[in-house]
Amino acid sequence: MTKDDPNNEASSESRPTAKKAKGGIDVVEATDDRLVERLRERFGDAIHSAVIMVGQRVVVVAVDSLAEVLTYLKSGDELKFDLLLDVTAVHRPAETPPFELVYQLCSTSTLERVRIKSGIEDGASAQSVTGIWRTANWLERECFDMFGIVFEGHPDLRRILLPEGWEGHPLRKEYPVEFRENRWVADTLNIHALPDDADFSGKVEI
Amino acid sequence: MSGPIALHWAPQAASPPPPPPVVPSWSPVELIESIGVPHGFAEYVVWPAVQLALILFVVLTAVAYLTYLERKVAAFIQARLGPMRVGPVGLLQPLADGLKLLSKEDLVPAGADRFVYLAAPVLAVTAALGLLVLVPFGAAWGTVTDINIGLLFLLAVASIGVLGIVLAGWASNSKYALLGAMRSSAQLVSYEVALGLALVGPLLFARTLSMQEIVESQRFTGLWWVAVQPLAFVVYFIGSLAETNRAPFDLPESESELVAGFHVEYSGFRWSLFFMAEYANIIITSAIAATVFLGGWSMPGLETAVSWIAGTDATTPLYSTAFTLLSIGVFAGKVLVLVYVVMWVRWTLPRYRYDQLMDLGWRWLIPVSLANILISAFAFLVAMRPDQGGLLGLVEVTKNGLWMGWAGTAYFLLVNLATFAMAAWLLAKLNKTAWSTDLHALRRVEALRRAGRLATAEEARAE
Amino acid sequence: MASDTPSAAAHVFEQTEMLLNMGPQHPSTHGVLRVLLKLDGETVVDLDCDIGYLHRGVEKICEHDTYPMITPYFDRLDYVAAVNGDLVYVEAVERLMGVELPRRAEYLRVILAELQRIASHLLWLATHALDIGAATIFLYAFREREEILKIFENFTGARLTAHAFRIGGLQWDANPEFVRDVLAFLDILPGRIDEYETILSENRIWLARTVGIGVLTAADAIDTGLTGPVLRGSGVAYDVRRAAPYSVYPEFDFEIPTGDTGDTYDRYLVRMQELRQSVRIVRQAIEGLPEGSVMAARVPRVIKPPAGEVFHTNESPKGEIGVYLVSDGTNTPYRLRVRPPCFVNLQALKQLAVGHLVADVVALIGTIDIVLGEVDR
Repeated sequence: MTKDDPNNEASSESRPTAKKAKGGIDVVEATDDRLVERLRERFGDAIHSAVIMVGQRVVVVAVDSLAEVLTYLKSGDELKFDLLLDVTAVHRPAETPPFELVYQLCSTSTLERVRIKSGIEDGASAQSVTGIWRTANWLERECFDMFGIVFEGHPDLRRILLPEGWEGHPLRKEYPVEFRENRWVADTLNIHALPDDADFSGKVEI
Repeated sequence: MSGPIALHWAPQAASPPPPPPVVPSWSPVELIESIGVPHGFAEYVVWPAVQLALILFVVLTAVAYLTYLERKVAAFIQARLGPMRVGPVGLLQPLADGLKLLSKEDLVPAGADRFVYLAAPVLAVTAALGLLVLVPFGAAWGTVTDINIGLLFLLAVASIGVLGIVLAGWASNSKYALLGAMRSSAQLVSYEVALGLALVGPLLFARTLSMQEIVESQRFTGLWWVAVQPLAFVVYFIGSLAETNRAPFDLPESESELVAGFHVEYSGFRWSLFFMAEYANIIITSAIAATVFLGGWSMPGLETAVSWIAGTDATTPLYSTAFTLLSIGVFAGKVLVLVYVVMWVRWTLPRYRYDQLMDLGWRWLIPVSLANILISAFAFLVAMRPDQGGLLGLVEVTKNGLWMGWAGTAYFLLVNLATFAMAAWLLAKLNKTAWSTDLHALRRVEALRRAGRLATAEEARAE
Repeated sequence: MASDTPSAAAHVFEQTEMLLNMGPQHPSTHGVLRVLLKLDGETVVDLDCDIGYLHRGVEKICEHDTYPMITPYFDRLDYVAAVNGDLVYVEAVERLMGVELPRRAEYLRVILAELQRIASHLLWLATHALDIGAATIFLYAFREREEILKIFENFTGARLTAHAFRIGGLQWDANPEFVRDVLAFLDILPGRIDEYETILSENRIWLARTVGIGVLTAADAIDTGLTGPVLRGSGVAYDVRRAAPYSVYPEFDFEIPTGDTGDTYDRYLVRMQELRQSVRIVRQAIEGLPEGSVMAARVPRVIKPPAGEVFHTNESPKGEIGVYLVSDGTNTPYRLRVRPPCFVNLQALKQLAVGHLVADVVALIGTIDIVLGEVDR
């Protein structure tokens, strides 16, 4: 982490120094970045912002053109971002739109990396990228499971980690971290309504 | 084939075949008669009953201790200690295991075919233990009975054991058990062919199916048939591993795929019956191998050793007892060595896959054993005395067995060595891809197989 | 029997496919993985993985814990490679905070991480060989893994969930026996690896069971998002230690072994080579171990990374493990996402297994090398 390796991350910028503004990290506009220039050139207003944060490129894209941008990144103009590392989301209930889809891309040949983000409304659906990367299948299923974001065109969109019939999407901010009884638990595990003053402290009374 | 005798020379003609080796005449039947039991009753009821009781006791104890031996051998190979807690160096472990198994609940899964489910392990263990009656444990009175179709009978009854496995798998009402039983039946049926054919080779030399007489024939010739039938021995050994469901052919019960295969639903004593049947089968197949290929209870120097103890008079009870007990010891030693090799193989090799197992059986072992029979028979015919229908006169068929001198022995050793080499070479050529160490070829074959399987599945679905 | 009058019994024989439920209690699914197999005879026609039996909601819990409290959760993701899990998390936080580590801390981290990689690969070898029926190698590999666990126990106090790293360095410096123990272990390991290879690499049955099984081309492997030895087995020389270097890996001399066809045998060879490469790295790190402190000088008492986000990845023994950390400037993360290599790699099982036999499925689960703690999180 202490090294400034030219191969690390995007090769065109250097790591930020340890000095930072109070309360936030240094965020630099990606102005002289070749990739960002290309994207802006091609997609224009669909590229909302492009910044460099902790040495990592972050491009925010309009949700409508997300699939196109990702397709372009994978196969267009020899960019070769062929490895989709991750698909996930962040829930910010206070903001609009409240959800942010995050795609981590990497190129196995040029070793460049880029993070594509896109805001999405609650209840709106995003284009599935399973047609572009097969790996998106399970990753999108997990995103659906945890946040309730629907991906259109996904071949098999159902819960993956939680059981079928589970209520709620745990990684939304309004979902409590403690156990909360729900119908699935009552039906499947035969655990019925817990008392209101149920104690979750872990202490056992004898 | 009494052809021209152009090549006729008879170095053996000068030395006539020796007399048959001594066999002690005294038997404990005389002892039983001496206390007033009628002759027929003593010979056909009392004495066999005593023998059977003894054999069952010894063999069942041996089976229990084979599990102990198995664990100790495994531990030895795997750089650990094995059972050490129960008794000195864990010697009472089989007892503790037996008690534990007896005290466990005998579960019958829901939906199982109850009667068949309960009967299957009994069938398996009966088939295995029933064979003991014909195994020539020792000379003279060391064997229960000897029938003229002994080997054939052994093979026939041994194949009843598979019925127990198939029924167990079917009656369990479990898919894993069913798959295990399916594999088992296919495997046993295919390997029985190779196993039976492999035994034909030594039978050419033994010229009898009676187990005792097979031993006597090797004693008379002074040669174990493994020397003149190495190929058949190898095939038999591999086949017997498959027959007894031992690694690398333990597919019916492969614990990492089918959990435990056909006996996955069994518990307690019924489970241990399967276990008993497995180990009893190991003993039986090793005993057959020892009898047919390794001279059974005979051993060069056996008579000398007996004469040190009991003198040279073969009619005394002492001579008979010493001879029998020593021969039993020799036999047990041979069987134990074979059993050890079986265990050694198990803890060294990975497991074959089902289709590869079939491949090995049908494309390797059966052709090899067939070729072995053909070549051995031809070589035998050529080597016989001209007046007996042969050509070279290296072997003489006497009423006590084969007689061949050093020249005959050398001839057969050479022929069989050549057969061995030729078979290996030829089969390597025929089954190029199966034996090649060329990874690319192996990959290609596997890809073809995969495509073939998918096509078959597709076809089946289309129908 | 071509009969014109279909009977009720004929209907049974028309069903050529069987549904076999493998797991979650199955000895070869390496935990609580449940695989539903659709079989035609013994050929796998279709397959579906049912995961989540071990789901603990780690990502949700992390949003409610302070930064130092989160580290032990990473021990328990991939519990056979706890050190590698810790490393990626603490590095992500340090990266967001901009903490400079003393070189001794970096070296010790690399030593522990590579020892953990060896331990993880040994466990993989043990279980993979056991799945294919070679029971003895299981005990051999565990014998060597035990040595590593002893070293961990000496260093951290724990054998499995070795929790040595803190944000900003290590809690303790290595004790005097550490270097001696590690060097002694490095002396015996290469010979032992030779021993494993003697048993397996040219064994006919091993070849028959692994060569040509589960072939994955490089393009397919990348498309399926595979990383780690599974990807390298397909011939792609992608290793995060080189592709996006972290810690002090650029200072070490090591190679990235790759396979050529991407079958189970290639993946086996790659991992065996990686064992040797890890030995190389540990030896270099031990020999060049600098003196000094193991904790960064100015690490605040309360860890509050500045608002921002970072996606940091490491090369774990299973593949590329990543942490996507979104901070809002408080003492708990706003969102913490783990990019689990096992989860993504397990996805390839269907591609690998269709067309092979039931026996190959266990070999293929083994070759992917999954740990359900990380798949389910």
